[in-house]
Amino acid sequence: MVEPLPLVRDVLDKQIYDANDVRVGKVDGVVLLPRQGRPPRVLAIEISMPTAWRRVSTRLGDWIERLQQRLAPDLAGPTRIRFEHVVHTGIDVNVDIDGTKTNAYVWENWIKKTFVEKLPGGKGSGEKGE
Amino acid sequence: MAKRANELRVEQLLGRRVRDAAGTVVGRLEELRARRNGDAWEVTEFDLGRTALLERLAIRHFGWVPGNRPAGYRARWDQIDISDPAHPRLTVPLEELSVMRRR
Repeated sequence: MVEPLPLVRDVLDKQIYDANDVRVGKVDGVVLLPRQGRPPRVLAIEISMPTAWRRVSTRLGDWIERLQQRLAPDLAGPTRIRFEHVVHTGIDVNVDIDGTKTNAYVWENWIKKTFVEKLPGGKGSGEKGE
Repeated sequence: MAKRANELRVEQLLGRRVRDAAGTVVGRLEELRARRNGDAWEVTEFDLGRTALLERLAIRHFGWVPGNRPAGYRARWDQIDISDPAHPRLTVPLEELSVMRRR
């Protein structure tokens, strides 16, 4: 019988690599769906700054979420990858989807456009996901 | 993928003290183990206590754990009520949980 997968040891906080072996982010959260009379379903892994900070302090996580909504309301929202897309776990988590097709890089690109490109020499490296 | 109201999170449960029906602390919830069922993954077991923590941290402890009582339990998904993630409770007497094998 196949050994069960330890979600905390082998999934939470691990680096995610997409189908092209590119880093997407770290697993900040694992989402479960409790069901009546059946085992809770593992829905998705989540990449999200508020989710990560909520583990330190709920108030801090909520504050980060509000800050994100204030800075760029159209970008706010966690990146979720359905657990069915996870193909390997352990030291890293591999998923069978293209990271650029998710919203995992939106904040990185927002920081680049808003701040980094305005610095001398900050232009020309291209966007992730392009 | 949209958020659903009744979702809960592994990190919400992690480290929570699990109590039995009498309110006695059995141990902290240290690991959730999932199995594939068709296309879906389901949480089938919860690991509690110090042995579970050492296992999670991948520390080989050669059976040594401080104290005399069993230091880790493995519970089936239906043996713990997680409807209130901040206060998980056993749904069965402690004796029905399996004691974690020491390594």
